[in-house]
Amino acid sequence: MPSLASSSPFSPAELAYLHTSLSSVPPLRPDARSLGTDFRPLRAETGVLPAVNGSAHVGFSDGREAIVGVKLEVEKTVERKNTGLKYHVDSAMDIDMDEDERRKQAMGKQEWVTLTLTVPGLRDDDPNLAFLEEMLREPLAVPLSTAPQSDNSYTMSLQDSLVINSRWHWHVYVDVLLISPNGLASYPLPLLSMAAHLALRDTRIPKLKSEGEEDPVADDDWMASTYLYPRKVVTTSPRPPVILLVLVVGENVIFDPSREELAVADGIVAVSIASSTDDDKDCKVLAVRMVDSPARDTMKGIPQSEEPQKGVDVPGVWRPRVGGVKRSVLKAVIKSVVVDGVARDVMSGLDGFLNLEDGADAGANAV
Amino acid sequence: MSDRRRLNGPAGTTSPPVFALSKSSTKSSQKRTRKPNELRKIFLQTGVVPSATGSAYLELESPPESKPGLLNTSSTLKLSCSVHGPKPLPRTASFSPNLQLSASVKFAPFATCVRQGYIRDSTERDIGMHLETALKGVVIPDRWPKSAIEIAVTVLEGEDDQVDGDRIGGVGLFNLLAGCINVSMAALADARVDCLDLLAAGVGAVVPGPGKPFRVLDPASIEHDLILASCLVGYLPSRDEIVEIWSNGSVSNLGRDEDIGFDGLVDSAVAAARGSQTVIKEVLIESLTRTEVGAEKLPNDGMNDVDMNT
Repeated sequence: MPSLASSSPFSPAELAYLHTSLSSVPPLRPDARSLGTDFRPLRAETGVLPAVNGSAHVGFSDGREAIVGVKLEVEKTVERKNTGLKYHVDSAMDIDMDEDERRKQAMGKQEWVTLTLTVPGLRDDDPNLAFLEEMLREPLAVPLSTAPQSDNSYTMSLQDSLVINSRWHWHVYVDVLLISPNGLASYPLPLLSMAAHLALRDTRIPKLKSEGEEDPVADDDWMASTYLYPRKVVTTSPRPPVILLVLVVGENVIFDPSREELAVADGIVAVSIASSTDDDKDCKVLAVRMVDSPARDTMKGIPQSEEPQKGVDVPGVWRPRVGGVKRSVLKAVIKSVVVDGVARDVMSGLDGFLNLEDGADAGANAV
Repeated sequence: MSDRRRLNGPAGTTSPPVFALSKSSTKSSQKRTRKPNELRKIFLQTGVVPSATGSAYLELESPPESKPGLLNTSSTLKLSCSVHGPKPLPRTASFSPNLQLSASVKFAPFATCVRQGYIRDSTERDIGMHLETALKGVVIPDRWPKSAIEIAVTVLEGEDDQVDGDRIGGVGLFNLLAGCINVSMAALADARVDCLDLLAAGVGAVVPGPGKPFRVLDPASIEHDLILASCLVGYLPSRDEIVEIWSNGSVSNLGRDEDIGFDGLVDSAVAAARGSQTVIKEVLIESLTRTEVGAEKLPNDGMNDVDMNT
């Protein structure tokens, strides 16, 4: 079972030391970050691949890198099988159906977004890979607003913006490549999601020369293309989701965990967030998942004194974690993400990066 | 990865017939008749597979009305689970001081509207990972050093979400996973594997109501046109701990509207989990009394085992 747990390189003594220091208030982190909400620096660039619609390259300071390419293809929309029904039912039903169809036509299908992940050294039928892929894909499909469908301004999710007309749609392929020296041991989810986020925001849709129900014909002029996620300075414009990996140790909530910190987690929670499209400033939670903690499958420590009594916790001696996360702690995790503004900081950081890059591009064009 | 070892039918080129609905059986029959905090009835039985260490079968109550067409979104779930082990790790495996738990979920080819292949697809692997995460949180792994346990769930009938989609998704998948967790817990208890608590899973959701959105427990996908957010938890009631959470859907207004925020969603899922735990508990007590009666009839049973002292 090559889970991320089985190859923990830490001894029980090291694990006990890490756990004690991380569960103290405030947490003492092994890489000397002062707060639980501190993130490590990262490098990023967009538009690195020439043959795709959008791409990004993100590198973390511990040597992990991710390259993402986004490709768009025009695809024929499969006819709904019940369209023939209208002719067989009476007029009252007909109207009913039409309304349904119209509502459905504006909505895309989840199958139109394909996300694949390549991790060297991992078999392509590994369940961890499927889990990560699903985790990255799932929040993309969630509509960004819970507001009623009456105002169609920003309530759309990604697949809804892919509709061209009733017969054609775009298919988005997001291909993620991870380059990492230690595989899944330092769970690469935040890296992959940030890279995917930047690539999607870099993605341009070719301008179409065709109109309405015509077969789509794309304009050759690349400069006329539009962004898949509109780049506006307005805070309410939709943005792709970002996934934060949050660690729970004792009562402490720790963001952007390193490999050492992951090894002693009581619980690991992945929270997908998106900036709110409503007028309030709070970010939204799109999806939450729990990841198996490697601290469950570890060797227990033996106290130096003598035979350990059953069930007695000797302080400073490692015991593998059992059970889950307290309900109150889990709520505290979500609160610190949404209310305390970690999500907002991350989003504004990514915004700032893109603005900087836009500025650099504009400067280069001027020269 | 394509399946090259078997003769498979054409993939996705045929579609089942659809018939027009008659006027009498329109949508009105699909509306939810339960109260918002009422769960569907659960049928659960343990000890159904004699060759496995532990096993269980779970079924959810299906809607009472007859099916109007051939292709209908079924809203029912039939799961069978078997536990193999704890058994010694193979010689090639490296030493482990803990029980190595692995769980897998497989759809039967006939489980959904669209036929499932023999090779696990990504949905099955994803659900399997969720199940494994939940079950790893409830067993006490250091009771069985150097051993492994395998939990296999077969989906005989999966709650199918959509008429024309080719993948099961949305709240149907949540209900499926909740069923998988519940049936696995019953099978684990049937296998007499030491656990921290009786794990139970439940699903809560926020659906658009007449005035404002409201919370429901155990949402069936056939009964709701639109689900704003749904959440599944695997919950240990006596420790108030969550071993598995999976939520989906945009949850906003946190803090302002407690009822339909994330906290409310988790609380409703926990309430659903508590509800299904009562069923699991009843069934286990019932099966225990049944086996005790059986043991009295055959007092020597179990004494004739091969002596393992080596």
